[in-house]
Amino acid sequence: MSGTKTPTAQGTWTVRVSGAVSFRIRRRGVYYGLACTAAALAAVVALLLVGAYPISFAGVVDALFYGTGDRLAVHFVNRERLPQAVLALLGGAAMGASGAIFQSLARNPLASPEIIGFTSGAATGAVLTIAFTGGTALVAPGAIGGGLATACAVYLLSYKGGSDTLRLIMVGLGVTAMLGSVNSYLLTRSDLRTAQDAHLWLIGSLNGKGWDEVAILAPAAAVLLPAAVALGRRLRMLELGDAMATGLGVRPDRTRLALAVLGVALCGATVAAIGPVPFIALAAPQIAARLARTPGMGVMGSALTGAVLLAAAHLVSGQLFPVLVRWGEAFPALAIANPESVHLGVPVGAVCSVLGGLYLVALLTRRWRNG
Amino acid sequence: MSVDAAPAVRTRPRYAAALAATAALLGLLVLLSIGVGAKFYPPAQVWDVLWHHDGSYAADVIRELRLPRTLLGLMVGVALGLAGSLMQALTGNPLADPGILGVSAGASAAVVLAVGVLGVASYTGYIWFALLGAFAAATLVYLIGQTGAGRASPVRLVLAGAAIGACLTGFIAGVSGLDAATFDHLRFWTVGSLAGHAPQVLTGMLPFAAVGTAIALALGRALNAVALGDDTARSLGVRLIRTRALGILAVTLLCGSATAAAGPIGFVGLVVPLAVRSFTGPDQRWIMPFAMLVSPCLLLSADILGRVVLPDGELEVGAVTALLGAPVFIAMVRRGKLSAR
Repeated sequence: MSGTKTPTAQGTWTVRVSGAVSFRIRRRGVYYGLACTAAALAAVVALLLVGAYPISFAGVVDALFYGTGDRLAVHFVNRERLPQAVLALLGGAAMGASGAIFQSLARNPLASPEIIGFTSGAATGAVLTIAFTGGTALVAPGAIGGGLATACAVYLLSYKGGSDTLRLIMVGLGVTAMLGSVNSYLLTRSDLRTAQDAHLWLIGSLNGKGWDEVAILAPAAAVLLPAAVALGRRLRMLELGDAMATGLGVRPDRTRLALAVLGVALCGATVAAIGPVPFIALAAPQIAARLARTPGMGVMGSALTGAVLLAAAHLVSGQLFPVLVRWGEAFPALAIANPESVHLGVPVGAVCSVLGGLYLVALLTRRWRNG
Repeated sequence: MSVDAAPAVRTRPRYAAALAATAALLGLLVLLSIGVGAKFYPPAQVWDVLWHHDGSYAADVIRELRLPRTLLGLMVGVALGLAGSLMQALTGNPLADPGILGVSAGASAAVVLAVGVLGVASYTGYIWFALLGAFAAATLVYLIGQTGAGRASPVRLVLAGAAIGACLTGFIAGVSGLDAATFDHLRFWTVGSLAGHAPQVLTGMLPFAAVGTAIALALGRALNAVALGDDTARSLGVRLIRTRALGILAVTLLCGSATAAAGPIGFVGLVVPLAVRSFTGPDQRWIMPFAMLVSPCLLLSADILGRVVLPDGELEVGAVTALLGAPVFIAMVRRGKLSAR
């Protein structure tokens, strides 16, 4: 950008693009964005280096840039670790942005796709598709359709002379409980291999994913993420109330609809590529707002935070088993009954779900303690 | 004081008659549950074969498969109905249910840990894990819901249950997918089903469920007082901490043993006490006996329905109760039952 930056008071920079166009950016926000980017890059490097098959740093560099060296190393780095790292970043960013939009529109930190039933509906859609078509080819549209249908159903069921966020959340919980049971039932109706595939879809996993999935997510993210960031600036104005927003030149209903469509599309694209990964959409906006000290839900900060979170969760989920096996050697009483199953790895969605639950506990107790 | 007085004299015969009618209905459902399945056996034949084994194939099916399944349904039904009533009384929360408040999830997660990681295969082995898991989850949810000023509101407990449930679901999903054999075993268990359990499950569950039932029934008077508020209850001579501790113990025993036996079965503990309460009013000394009879009626009906509703195969009882129960939960939320207190 060919602007000049001049430090001003109150921790902001003013960027002048031309004589008539200028905007201010908060310094802390910039630092936070840079820190997130650095963390995301570090996570990618770690994801390329670490795995069940040991590859040296030099080996990774050779495989990545020259495609030479150990054939297995080339395969693992270029066909598994790299696309999975890319998926983690894109999926995390999409989920983070989607969460920021939903939470800002609903003005409630609990209004994330998993709580309003979108993710469980997407899972049901995916499993139904797998059960009826016997393959994973049509899973993406099935998942998005299921998620959309469920989210609409939850919204309509909770609508009673106006929409109430708390009622929305409670209805979402009820529908989620019902769909969870349906999902479990569907898993018992297929043969074991299909059920295992479907099980991974239910929770969201990066294991076994590759460039095919990147091809689903990347184009969607390339269009939707910039649009969300651009429109996201209007969220702040909507948070001021419809009258104020109208005064500032924003048409509230139309903007809200556009943002909701963007939020659903971002979430849907992620679900289509890697499954309904929980936690990111719930936590990323709040973490970003707290660390960057912004008053509202910044879409950009939330997307960056989401990317870091999912990449980190993927790193953890890949390392969980090796650690458990080592524990098992130290404490035979707690040993895993079938250590040969280790190569399967924990789905990243499972790690996210545990983290999400803990985060929710922290969020709730904090709110209630403060009244 | 009214909590100590016998229930109003006028209503007593009416309730007793209703209780007898429910028991009769339950007896009928038991015969039906034994009779209905891939092959139908008329109640008369079921009755005959139950008393003397005539050496026929039908006798084998009835005594070896249908009878244990029905007895398990009875026990699990009693346990879930009582656990639900207890939880609603202890928390003053009409939305309390072992499933919604994460207690079943605690038991499930512990069983999954036992089966998937530690290789425990028998019911008598993993019931202890289930009890521990149920206890930990119940206590945690209660404590989390209790933070901040005032009594735990219905919404708070449900949200706390959802948070703990999310944690445990992630754990269950991560561990149950570990290897094919474990996954194959657990995927059938997680739905919640009365079918295909070994007879040891019945005998293993009985003592825990019996103790839990005894504690629950003994708590009726104290729970009535608790409903009047902590201060009133204390002045009526109820020891609150003891009542709550015994209540959580009973919930743990009932819910843990039931979940270990049949897997997580949701919404029975929610719907039954609510329905019973609308008939009996708030006296726990009537609610609990009714719940003990109505809940197995519901569970056996759901199980029978699951056997006949599909053209081939069965719909597990856990799926049936969820499909029937979730709409009730949503209807309650819509009616604004959650905003109280």
